[in-house]
Amino acid sequence: MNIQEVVSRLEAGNKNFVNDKLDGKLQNSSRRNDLTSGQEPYAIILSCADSRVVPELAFDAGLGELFVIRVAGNVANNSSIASIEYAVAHLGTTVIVVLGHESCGAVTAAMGGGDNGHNLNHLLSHITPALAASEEGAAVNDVVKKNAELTGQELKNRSSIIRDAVESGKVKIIPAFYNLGTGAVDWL
Amino acid sequence: MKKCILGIIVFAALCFTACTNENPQQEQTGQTQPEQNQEQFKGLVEDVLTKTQQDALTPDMVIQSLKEGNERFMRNDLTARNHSAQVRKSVKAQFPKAIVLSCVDSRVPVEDVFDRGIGDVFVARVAGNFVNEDILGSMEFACKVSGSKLVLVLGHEHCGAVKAAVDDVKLGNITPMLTKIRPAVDMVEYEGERTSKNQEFVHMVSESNVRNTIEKIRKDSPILKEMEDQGSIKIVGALYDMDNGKVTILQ
Repeated sequence: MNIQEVVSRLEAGNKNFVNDKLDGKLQNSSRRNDLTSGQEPYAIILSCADSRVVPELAFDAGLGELFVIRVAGNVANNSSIASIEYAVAHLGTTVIVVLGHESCGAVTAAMGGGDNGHNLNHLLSHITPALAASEEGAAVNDVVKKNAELTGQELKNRSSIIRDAVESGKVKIIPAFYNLGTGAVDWL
Repeated sequence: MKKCILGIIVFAALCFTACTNENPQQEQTGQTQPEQNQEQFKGLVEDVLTKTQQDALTPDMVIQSLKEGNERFMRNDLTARNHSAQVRKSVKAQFPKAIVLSCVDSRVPVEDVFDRGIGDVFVARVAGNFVNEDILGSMEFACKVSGSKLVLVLGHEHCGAVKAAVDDVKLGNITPMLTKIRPAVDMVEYEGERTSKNQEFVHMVSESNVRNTIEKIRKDSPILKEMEDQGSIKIVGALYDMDNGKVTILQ
């Protein structure tokens, strides 16, 4: 699949999800058996840990289709970047979706500030640039969108493997926004 | 620590403010579904976990429900769900029963493997299912703020990240990432061939990596350690077998 075909596949999958017409294929034991020797996912999804945002459902994908990194706030840290490098360099995956979502708890917490302990503070510090780049009094969902965009840039800035792949046209990074109430994914 | 817990409580209050009145609204939303769809969704699971249901769960009950979900996945009997109803019902809040830390591998979609739907489980995923501060933060958010009862670390066989750590691969950001998995390689006492070609050794490292990750969670997150000591959560490990889809909980 070329980049446009992958984008179309993701769009079609999301439409199926929104319309409650999931294909539901590729989730069974015969698919499992086909995959024991390797994987060729067509897209990489960097998404949130939120239980309401399930990338495989949102894009109507089964086993072996999506390479999924999840961390609260869908942030780019060393490990999420390295995970993506693995898919770009070794698996030849061509599309990276940075998927923010409506009413994200991590973004809300970052906006609230305060001391939430070492680990949560560390996590929330990744969202600070999106806060700084947003207008004062910006709505949570606007900061979520800004965070997805800046995270996409961060992937390029901090990884020569990803940057080279994007600049040579082999890989496309797409920031996106998941609507909690409808399940629809908007490309940003 | 006091300051930290206070911060979390404020944070929790923020998250839960809007959800005290969710039930009447849920029913109302359900009624707005177009009539022609009613038949199509008959008998499908359309509820999502509520706070009351989450509060009533114990860590052992959560483990049991994940085991049963995995058995359904193994026998190709995934639950049919009305996703759009679940999407609408969960819009204001989530009360997941667990957080699962798994690998990014496309062959291990966590929700499928445990037959879980929207609002059931938090999921953190990183190549090689290890923890860093951000993932620990995600776990603390799941358990301390959102009331989850279980932290499950799920490793899997044929893991590319584990194999790369075994072979000490050097490439871009992958090099520093693998230092998180290397201790698990060194911990395995094994006399045979210690390369990724040796499946037996890779399997031993996968298990060692899960156990090491659990120890890291206890060591680096006083919040989760305290919750475990009090019995409000459990932290357990498991391995996913790609051939038959079975998840085995490590003892």
